[in-house]
Amino acid sequence: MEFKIAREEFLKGLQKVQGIVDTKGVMPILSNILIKTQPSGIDIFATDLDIGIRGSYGAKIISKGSATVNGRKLHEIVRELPDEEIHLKSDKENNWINITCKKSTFKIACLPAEEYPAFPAYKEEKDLCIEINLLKEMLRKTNFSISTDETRYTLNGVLLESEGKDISMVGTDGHRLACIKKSNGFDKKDKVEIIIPKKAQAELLKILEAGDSDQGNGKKTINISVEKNHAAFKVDKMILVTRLIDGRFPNYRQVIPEDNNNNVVIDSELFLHALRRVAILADEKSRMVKFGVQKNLMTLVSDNSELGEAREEIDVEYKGNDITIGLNAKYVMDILNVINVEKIVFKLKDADSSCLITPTDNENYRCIVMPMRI
Amino acid sequence: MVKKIIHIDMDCFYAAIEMRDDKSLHNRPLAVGGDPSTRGVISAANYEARKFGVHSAISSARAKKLCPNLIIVHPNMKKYVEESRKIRAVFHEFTNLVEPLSLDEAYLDVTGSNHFKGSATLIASEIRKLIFDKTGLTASAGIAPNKFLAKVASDWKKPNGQFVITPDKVDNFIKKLPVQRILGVGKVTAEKMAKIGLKTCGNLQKLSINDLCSHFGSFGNHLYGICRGKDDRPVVTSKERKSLSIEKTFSHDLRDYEECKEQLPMLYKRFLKRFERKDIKEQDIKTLFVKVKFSDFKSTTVERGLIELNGKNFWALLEEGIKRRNLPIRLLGLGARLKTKDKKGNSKQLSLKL
Repeated sequence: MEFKIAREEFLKGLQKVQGIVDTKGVMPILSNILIKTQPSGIDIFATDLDIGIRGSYGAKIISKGSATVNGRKLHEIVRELPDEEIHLKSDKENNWINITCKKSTFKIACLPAEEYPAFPAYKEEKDLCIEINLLKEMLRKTNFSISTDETRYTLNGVLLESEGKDISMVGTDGHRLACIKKSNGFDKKDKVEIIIPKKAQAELLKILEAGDSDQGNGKKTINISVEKNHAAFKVDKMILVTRLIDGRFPNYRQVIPEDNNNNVVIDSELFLHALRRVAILADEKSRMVKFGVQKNLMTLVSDNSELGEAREEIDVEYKGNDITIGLNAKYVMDILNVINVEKIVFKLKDADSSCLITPTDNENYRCIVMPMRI
Repeated sequence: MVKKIIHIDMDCFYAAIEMRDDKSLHNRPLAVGGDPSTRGVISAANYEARKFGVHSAISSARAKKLCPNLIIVHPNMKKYVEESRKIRAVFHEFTNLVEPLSLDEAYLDVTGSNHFKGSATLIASEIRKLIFDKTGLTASAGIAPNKFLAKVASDWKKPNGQFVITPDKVDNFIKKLPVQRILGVGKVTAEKMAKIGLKTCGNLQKLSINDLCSHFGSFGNHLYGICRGKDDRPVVTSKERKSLSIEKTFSHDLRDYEECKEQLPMLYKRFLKRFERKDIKEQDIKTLFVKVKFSDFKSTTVERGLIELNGKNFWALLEEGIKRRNLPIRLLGLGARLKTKDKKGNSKQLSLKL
């Protein structure tokens, strides 16, 4: 195998698979990536056996072949090289790979390419097509809620639901929930309902975000095909195949409160800054901040028995009853960090019931936070 | 601040409900419990029956011996739960700080209440009146500055009465209080105390905390406060469940593995039913355990963690328990210990009902 490739192009490809290259060395081959020549370029493929990512990159092929090398080291090398053309060549027995760029040369060990796990099978026809910007927004606005507690494994991912033109995404860890519903523009006949594992959605988001700098892709789309246990996400020359979480996502609709009638309208920017300050002195473990509302005023109070206390007042629009509710400050900040609207509505019922946070102008994005006992 | 705690205790609750619903049972010794021929146990007895020495937890057969005219009615738990709900609703009209101890007993913290200008005594009589209006059943109440004294007081004027221990009366009251009145002082401890001349809380007060601990172990710490009428346990509205279990005493002793194994599906089914009814999730389980009681009334338990909830695993535990003794088996039980909230992380954080 021998080819020449622009450093920038090579680096881009290597970066996209870093997240799934194994560093613990459980199975040595999984620390490697597979490079394979194509007629007009190379494919870079990596897998951790749950997720597989493959991308195609332009290169001048001198002789065809394939090789597996340590993914982390190759990335480090290419990152440090000058921005010039890189020349890669493996020896006859495929034991070594030589990398040259200007006056630098590296020789790194290979493992037999046949030993690398096969790329997971996926079907070609798409089941769903989503605008990239839309999918990115949906992932960013829900993924912070994903549970890390492995005992409820169906919560270790985001739910993607699609029926007709409606598409929605939900993440929850049992204490809070984020749910976004959008209209997709691409009509879709069959219902899709999948749970994308936490790690796969993070890698997917990375791929989509890396695309930002590629070109001004306003309306670019991603194709998704779904099989029983797998889903494949295809965009341009990239494909990500992931194992899906097998199981039923809990019925999230039943926990979305309908009768939270005490609506507090708050400037989201002001709210976030105030909350960040008050949260500094919240109890380290519970992260609780008390949110008190009265006519046109919200008071945030934290107290940490060892360190001290903090208090801040915010002008809000509010006409309802006086309520004080204890919430995990991080849960609320996570929402304010991504909600991206000028004003939000903080909808309360009472101190023991869930709190609903939405933008002021629509209810397509709904976040629910359960209170803490004060 | 001095607290105002009310302890409400229904007067022979199960038996009273049965008497209310069947007038023919009036003025006759009555108990609610299992069949004497099948090793049943008494769960409640009315005052007529108590005169004969019949009380809860004794075997029905023994109760029948003590009082040959005793009428034993099978318990109707559904009905009792229904009445208990009505009673709890009455409590909640006065305070949200209600700690139920069982279907027929609860502590209420009415400190700072606005009802009856904050008079706990008047609140207690109103509660008892409302309970009677809504259920036709009588209750007794104890009013005191803490849970321990309130519970002692509710027993003072039973049935259908109430007793107040105001803070200034505590010292006098406690001095004369017999040690048996302390929760945790049973027959054995009381005898031990009597041997060293300790009959009342006043006697206990003369001992230092070290003396109390050397005689009664860690219980001494608790005794030191209690015998002075001090008890700062708060009224806890929701108790965290720590375990869940079911057990069955068989009408005839089981003789071997085979006979035990035949009972397993029935026990496991009952366990699962209870498990589901209490809305406990499998991941809340810390360990599974079984209880085996032999024909000599001695029992043994086998407990194991990190195993899946299924009949096979319960059987493995039972097998281990059964082979410990070579005796016929009287009782088998299945249970699970649950993870406590602290272990689960944050105790204050409420969860979505997903």
